[in-house]
Amino acid sequence: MHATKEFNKKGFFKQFLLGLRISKSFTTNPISIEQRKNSIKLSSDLAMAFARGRTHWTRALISKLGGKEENTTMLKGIMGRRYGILMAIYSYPLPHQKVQRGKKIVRSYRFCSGANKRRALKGSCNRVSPSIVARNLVNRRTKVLKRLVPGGELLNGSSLLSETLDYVISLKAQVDMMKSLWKATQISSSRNVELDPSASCQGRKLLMLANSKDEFQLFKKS
Amino acid sequence: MEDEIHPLLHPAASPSGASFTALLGLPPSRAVELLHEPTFPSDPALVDRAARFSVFAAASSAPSPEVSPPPPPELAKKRKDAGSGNGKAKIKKGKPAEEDTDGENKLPYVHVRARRGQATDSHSLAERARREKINARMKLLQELVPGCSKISGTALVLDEIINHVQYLQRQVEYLSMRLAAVNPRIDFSGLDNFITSTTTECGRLTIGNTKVGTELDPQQQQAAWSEVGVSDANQMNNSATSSKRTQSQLPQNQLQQFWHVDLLNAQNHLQPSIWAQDDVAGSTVPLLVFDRVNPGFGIFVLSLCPKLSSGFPIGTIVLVPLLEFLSHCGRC
Repeated sequence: MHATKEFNKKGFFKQFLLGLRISKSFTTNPISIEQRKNSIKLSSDLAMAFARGRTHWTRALISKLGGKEENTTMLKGIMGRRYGILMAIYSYPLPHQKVQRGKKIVRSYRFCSGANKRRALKGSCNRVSPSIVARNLVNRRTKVLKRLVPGGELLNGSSLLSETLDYVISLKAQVDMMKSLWKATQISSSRNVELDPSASCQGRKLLMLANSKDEFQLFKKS
Repeated sequence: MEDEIHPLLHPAASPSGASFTALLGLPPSRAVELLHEPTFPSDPALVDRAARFSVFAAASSAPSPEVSPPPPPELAKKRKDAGSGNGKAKIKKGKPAEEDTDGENKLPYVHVRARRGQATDSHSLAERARREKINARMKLLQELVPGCSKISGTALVLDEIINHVQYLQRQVEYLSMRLAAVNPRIDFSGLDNFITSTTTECGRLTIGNTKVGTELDPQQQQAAWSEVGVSDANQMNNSATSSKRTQSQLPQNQLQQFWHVDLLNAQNHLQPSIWAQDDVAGSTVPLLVFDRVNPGFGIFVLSLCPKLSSGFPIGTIVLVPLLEFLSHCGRC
């Protein structure tokens, strides 16, 4: 699975830049940091989901992000001409409908487990059997995980785990991408400070050439 | 009773070796009869079936009753029962179970790895298959999340996974905040052209048709340089800023004009034809993209496409832009 992510990093980056450019061109100049952060994050998430392809969580993420009105421009930009088709493909049954059913099941299950507990309590001497305790812990954590992973509420045990696996990998790739982007900006800003504006063009050029080596070394690793 | 069970429970003590673990489940008479057979795999059909029904057989392989050699009758009956039962009992958990209830369904001489299991009905088997799938995924996740391999127990591992996912999500948020707080002059748009070209054709670059050249010396365009992705270029294009302002911005930006070359890899992977081309306004003029404001980006992008970055001949790169840059700088 790591192999597939390696190939997709380029596509992801491309989509990311596209999203950033769209966000830049569509926004007015005096923009708050919050909005910029949101637009950056949105474009990054969308790019990641789009570059990953069609997995469960990407579909859920895209449909969730596409549901909001203000994101449609970004979506259109990233998806290009195929926006209409892709939105139809990526549309997903909203979890609200399923949650209805889920609630009933959960309620009945909770009732069941409560009954189990009571039965166990009645049977054994005031001690809940450890298997039931373990099962409750696991279930609680599964619920939390379902909330974390996009589209996770609709999945059951094993598919939830495989989706988390995929999601963790792509999150890691996203973080790496943004980190190296950040490093690039850091270096550029430090370079701006370093160079003496009064130096001649040629001197500046040579200085830059000399300094670019370490920069390349830095990015070669990422 | 225990005397009979004893040889079953300790197959190592039996004369025929340790592969009789499957005999443990058999009723005593049958087991004794098998134990006293002269040669171990006397029946080729038996061996064949055992091989087919070993744990490593594919789950979908059904017990096919097309074994040709006619076995002795009671053995056939036993085998048929065992075969049908064992077809489902391939995946067995190693739990110490009651040895009498499911004994009749076990095929003798099943591969050693076949675990003694519980009931062999389809429900528990499906349950077991599902559990194994979940455990396999959990193992993968354990490997992925750092520090998780030492933890045992599903709940704690899930805890770690949840923490890791939350940590990554928070990191994305934090990094996007940092990127947003960065100098807003940094513009990412120019690299887009570069990326689209490289994804299509690695090794060839395309020119970005920005209108920046109108402000600068047209000589630069002839020499096939394009300034891509400058924020003030966008301003010149899009907004209705006055030309005075852009011109005043230009000298300031020239201070930060950087040409980004890949100096380290001076191998000539690119075909010489690329550099021999002398197209002026076409979209396929090979050139080096550089970013005025963000020197890091060029190299950053180059690192993404290693094939590309390894192909720049050093001489051509350094000389041509230097000349152009100097000629342009001379005017500032």
